Amino acid sequence: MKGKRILILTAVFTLLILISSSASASTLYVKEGGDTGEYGSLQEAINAANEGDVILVGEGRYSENVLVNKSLEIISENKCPNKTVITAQDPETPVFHVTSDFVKISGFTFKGANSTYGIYLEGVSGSKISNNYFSENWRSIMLRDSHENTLENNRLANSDNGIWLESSEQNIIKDNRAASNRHYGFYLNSSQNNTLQNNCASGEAVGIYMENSSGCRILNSKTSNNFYGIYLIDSGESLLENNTANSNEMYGIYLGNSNESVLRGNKANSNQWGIYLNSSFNTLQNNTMSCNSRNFGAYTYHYRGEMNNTIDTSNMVDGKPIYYLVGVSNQTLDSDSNAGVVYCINCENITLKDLYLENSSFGIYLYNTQNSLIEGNNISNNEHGIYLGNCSITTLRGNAVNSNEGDAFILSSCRNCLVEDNNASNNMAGIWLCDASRDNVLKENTATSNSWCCIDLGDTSCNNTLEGNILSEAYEGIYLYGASEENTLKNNTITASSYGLFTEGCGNNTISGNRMSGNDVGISLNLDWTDGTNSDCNIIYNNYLNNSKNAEDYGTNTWNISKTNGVNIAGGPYLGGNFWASPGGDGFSETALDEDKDMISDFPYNVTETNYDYLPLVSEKPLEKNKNAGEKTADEKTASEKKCGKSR
Amino acid sequence: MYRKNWNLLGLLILGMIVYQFVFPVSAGDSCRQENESVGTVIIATVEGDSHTFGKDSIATAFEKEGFEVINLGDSISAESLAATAKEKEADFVFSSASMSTTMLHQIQIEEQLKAAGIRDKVITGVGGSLVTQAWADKIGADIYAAGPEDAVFKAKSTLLNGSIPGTHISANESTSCGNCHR
Repeated sequence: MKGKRILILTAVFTLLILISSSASASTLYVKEGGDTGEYGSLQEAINAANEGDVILVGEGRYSENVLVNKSLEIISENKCPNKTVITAQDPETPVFHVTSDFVKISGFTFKGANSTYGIYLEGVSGSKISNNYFSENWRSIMLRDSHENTLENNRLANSDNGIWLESSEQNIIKDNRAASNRHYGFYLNSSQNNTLQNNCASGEAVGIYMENSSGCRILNSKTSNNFYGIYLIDSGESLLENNTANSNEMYGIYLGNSNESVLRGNKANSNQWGIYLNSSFNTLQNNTMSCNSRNFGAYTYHYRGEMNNTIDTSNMVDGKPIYYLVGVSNQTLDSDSNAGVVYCINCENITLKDLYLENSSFGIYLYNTQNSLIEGNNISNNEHGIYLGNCSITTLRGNAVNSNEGDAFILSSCRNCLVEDNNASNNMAGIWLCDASRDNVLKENTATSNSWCCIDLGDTSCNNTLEGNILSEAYEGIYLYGASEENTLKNNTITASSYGLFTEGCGNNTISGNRMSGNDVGISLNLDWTDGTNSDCNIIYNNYLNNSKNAEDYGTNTWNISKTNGVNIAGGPYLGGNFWASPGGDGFSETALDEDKDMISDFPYNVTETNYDYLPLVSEKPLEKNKNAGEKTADEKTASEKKCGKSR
Repeated sequence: MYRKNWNLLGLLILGMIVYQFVFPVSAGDSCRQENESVGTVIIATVEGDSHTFGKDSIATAFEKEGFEVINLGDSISAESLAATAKEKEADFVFSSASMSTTMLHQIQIEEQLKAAGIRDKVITGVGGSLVTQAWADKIGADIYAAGPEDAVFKAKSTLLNGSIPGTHISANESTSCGNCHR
């Protein structure tokens, strides 16, 4: 009897539980047009629902802007999302605006919010948006101040943006596919510690973009055929693992100021740049980069931040290991290393020789590295060939650095380096000294067919020696700019260029013993138009000039030294001025009068109206010339001499 | 007498037609008074980018053609550009970006104009040494400006016809730096 009573009580209790539970999770039905016991719109059903209810939506087309302000599960009856389509009635209001936690939305197509969002989670946690299609929205899924939500298996296409997070943390975004959105597939701003896993983004301007979003994880995702694959800016401590970034127009993977991030097992192929770092304290392992125009790159040539990354040789470019040496001393890398690209940061006594390096941002990159030798390497088809930043006492000798998009050699803030007997052809510039590089020697290099210049010195690069270089077929053979002074340019041969030597705002350089022929202009000394600094007080003597126009001088310079014993460039017994030839064989020095037979003209040469070569050299058998023509008195030999303190 | 007057009127009309053929004037010229702006152009180099050569060339070209030009300078944020465009009720918003890392700000300009509710009220143009027609198409910019002449030509065409023609570029024209020095 007692047992029977217990059984009845148990059955009643169970029934009560069932009744109560069904009361707390009712199912409300929505059907297109509505019917008895059904709602004709989602908003009506939501208004009628209680917390925790389920709203089951029949297939059809609905035109609404829905406010979801209760914890509800809103699902479509037909699991195929394109059977239940909800279009924004007002395109300036989200299709679904969710303001309550723990909302589940699944199985719909959201479209037509072209001035706003498909689904907008505002200040929401614990919600799940899954198995939906989105199109024709400004931002398909928008999260603001929303944390610990899940966005899963959604298809986001043909909108301005796919998933957009602002100030939203610890969300899980997985198995979503974004395609052909105009701007971003996945965009995170000021959103920390989110996980993006197994997502796919293609045909966007940017596949995955993070800004000010640290501690995020991007795992097993694919970005292809975008302009930018995965792009992080100011988003440190991120983990990028096992992602694929292929066939993007610009970067496969780019990290800008995103320090202490880990890149592991990523593949970046057939992009313009494979993986590019402008960040420090990163760790790279087992990443592969192939068939990119630039497989691997780190830092631009003016970068001055820390470069202390851990990048081991498990990272490969076109099947060859990356050598990223930090703080290493006394090491040699030669052809046995099979190096694909070499970075040496804070190193000492490194030898790099006989390497073939191509298709990266830099073939060789040295920073703050001393007493090293780079010799006999072949470096081509990179963005730039060899870069030295803040290096000293380093020799670059016998390298062939050709056909790079930018410069063959860049020396930035370098001192006491020797660049000797290298070949630099078909680059933008041959050898560039910048950022106050001083006391370097560039000697006997051959630079041809560089589109800008063969050698340029800028940004107060002073006291360097350019000697015995053979330079041809460029816009400028040698270009000095930015207050680069007290350099010595001697015994160089410059031909077939627009300008043999071109200066902008550079003074106190010594230019002697150079042969410039077949150029449009031999020597052109100019104002720096950006700050008005002129090219003054240069000393130009003993040069052989045979060009369409031999000289332009817009400053005040000295075109000869005092008559001094010594064999000059024309074979005469005295040093003095320059040899002024002409392609037609009737140049001043070829026709000038020399009655005293000292092989110096009896008359000065008018370089410009105010600048004169008072001791122009002549050839051995000058033609007869009117003695009075061009003759100047001693009083007229004034301006340039007085200003620069030089005289005959 | 009347007959003569009608002949004169006919000749006058004919003369006007011939004049239009011989001395064609732009739509802007024909419908504006002296000193009246053809349209307002906001122009800037994007955030993080200090390259101004191309941007300034385009600004000058617009000024010469009678546009009111508000040149905001370089390294201008998308928010600032959009706010100014809204405040000044600009007709055109042009941006220049010359680095692979700054081109992305041209996306943000599109986004910010939309956020400000004026994207459909302005015509956007993009230029810069790495910027292409494909990039402009991708991000939804209305005009790709290959150079100053091209920018003005397309801008005027949109005012005249409401559509944007193909790239119009003269032999030496480009927004990239060309042979200017580092």
